Amino acid sequence: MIKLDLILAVALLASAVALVKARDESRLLFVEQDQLARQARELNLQWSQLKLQQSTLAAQARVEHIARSQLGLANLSDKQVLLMSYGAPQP
Amino acid sequence: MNHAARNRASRRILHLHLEPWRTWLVAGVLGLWAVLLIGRALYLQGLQHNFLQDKGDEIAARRLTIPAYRGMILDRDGRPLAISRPVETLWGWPKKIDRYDAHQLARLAGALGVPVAELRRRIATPGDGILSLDRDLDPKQAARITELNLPGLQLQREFRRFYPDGSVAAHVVGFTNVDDVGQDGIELAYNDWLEGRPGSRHVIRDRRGRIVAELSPERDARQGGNLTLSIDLKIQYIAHKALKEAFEASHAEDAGIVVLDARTGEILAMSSMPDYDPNHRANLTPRLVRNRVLTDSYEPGSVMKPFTVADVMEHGLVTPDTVIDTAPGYAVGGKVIRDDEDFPEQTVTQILQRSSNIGAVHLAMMLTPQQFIDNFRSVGFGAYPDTGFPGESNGYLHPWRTLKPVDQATEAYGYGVSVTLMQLARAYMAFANNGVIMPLTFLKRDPADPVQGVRVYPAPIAAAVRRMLMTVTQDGGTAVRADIPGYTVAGKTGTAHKWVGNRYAQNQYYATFVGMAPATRPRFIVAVMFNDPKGPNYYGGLVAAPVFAKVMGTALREFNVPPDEPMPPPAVLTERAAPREPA
Repeated sequence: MIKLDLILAVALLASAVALVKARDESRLLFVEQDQLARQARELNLQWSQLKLQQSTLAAQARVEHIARSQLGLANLSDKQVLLMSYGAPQP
Repeated sequence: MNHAARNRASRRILHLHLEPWRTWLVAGVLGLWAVLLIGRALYLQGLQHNFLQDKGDEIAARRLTIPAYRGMILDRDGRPLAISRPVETLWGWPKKIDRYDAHQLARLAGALGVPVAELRRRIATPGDGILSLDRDLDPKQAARITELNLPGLQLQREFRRFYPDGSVAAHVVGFTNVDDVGQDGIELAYNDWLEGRPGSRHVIRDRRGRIVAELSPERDARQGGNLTLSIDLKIQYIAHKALKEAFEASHAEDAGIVVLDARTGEILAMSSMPDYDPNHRANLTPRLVRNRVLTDSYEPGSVMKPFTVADVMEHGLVTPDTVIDTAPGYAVGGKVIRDDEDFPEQTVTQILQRSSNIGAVHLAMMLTPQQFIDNFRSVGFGAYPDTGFPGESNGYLHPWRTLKPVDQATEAYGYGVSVTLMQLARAYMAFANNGVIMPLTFLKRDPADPVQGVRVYPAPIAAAVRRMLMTVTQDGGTAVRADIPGYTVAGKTGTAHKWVGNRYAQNQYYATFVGMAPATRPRFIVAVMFNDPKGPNYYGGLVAAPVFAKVMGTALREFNVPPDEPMPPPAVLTERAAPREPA
């Protein structure tokens, strides 16, 4: 009888320790998950910032200005276009 | 000394003679203490439970909001037209800020990038509540302020809408208000889809501020959906720029342009003048915001003629080569109709090419009033164009039962009916798309999922009208300036006197050009309108047609549409086609 009590007492103790350990682990994991979720949000925001920056740099007006003033580019005039027909000769 | 001996000795020492009352006294005091403790515990646990639970939660538990952002608006190639960026608002508690010393104030001013005097002024603003010290801080600035570690400050994350291309697509995209709710354009029409819904979670934090447990299940934040429009930013940019230049040069009151994909009904570009920058909401006025393409209806003039021609041909009454008597001075209902240039007789093609009012009236009178009005109705005049855009107008179309002959005559050349530029562009799809009008849309269509159009003319009739409209941009037509080298162009001008007060103004006009290219197999429809252009160039063929040519030419090039007409002087090419050194 006393033996059984002892076994049960030890089992109870072990289970209590295991519970504490499991709760601790669950907390740590929760903290980690929460931090990762926050990181994901931050990265998402960063991405939208970069997307914004990209579109500001690639704005049509800016590209046209740089192309014309710094790179000396111009629209093709009709005389600079050569049309080539593939296959049958053009009339 | 062994253990037994020591125990015996201590027992002897401990064996005291105590008075019984002393035992009772101690037991009594301890017992009373226990009763008090139990009573106190019962009181706290039972009666004060809720109050204390709340107090406890205040320290450890937090209700956090999960911020949600508004979805992006993208053009058909995924370039952003509207995007929400995170900003931080800095709030301060006056009681704590007032105690800052000069050094702390200087550091805060430095992080905010404002002079100390300015910061002092903001703090001195009267009011008991918390102060908004600065808005629209970017995240880097916010991080610097957090590092200062000053008391009484709090950062709050919000989202602000930003439009990278400014005014270019303003009249399509619209704008949002301070609370990020759509106010106009696509921002308003698709607000439910774009809008994000912030979520919340109830959590417990530990001493270091980490979240260790969740008390109740979180309500998920719903991030706003992205929206891909049918707009092509490149064409939109060219259309906006060309319209703006012509608008400023002509000193017109307002102007509009719309570019349609002739085969799918997708709206590729739409712009309206005067324009505005949606990034600076403070400067907005209703005059700037109004969309001339969709909300303003006007009497369009001669651009209405091809529809009557198509209907008369569909009834088998004329062919493009039928000669019509256009002797000057056609009298109907006490009104004499005139042309700018008189010809005794003209073919149906020439009537369109030279835009003869008398010819158009003769053709219109071949139809019954019901046929005449039903024809206009079938191409969408008098009905909402159904773009889903807020505030679109349906214009005005006379009911046929009360149509007098003089009404029928004037409506044949575009007076007495009122239409929007979007309705015109949509109606011309009947000619461009071989008789079938596709439903309009501001959203990108999936090519794998074709939509059903409505047939309004048989294909041969549409093609015949297109061939006739090609003569408009050729020598002898009213819009030679709409010509695009290398491509065939079909289109029609309209120059109508403006109704001012109670009569048509002698020198105020609406100038319109609607056209399509390549005319043999149209890809795009461009419609351009100017309200009251000043100076000698008030004709649709002079003020609107050049804008058409510029926008259409760019669109054809951008979309790699092969030319359907031989390019002018081919001999030059072999010599000068080599890459040019930059000047």
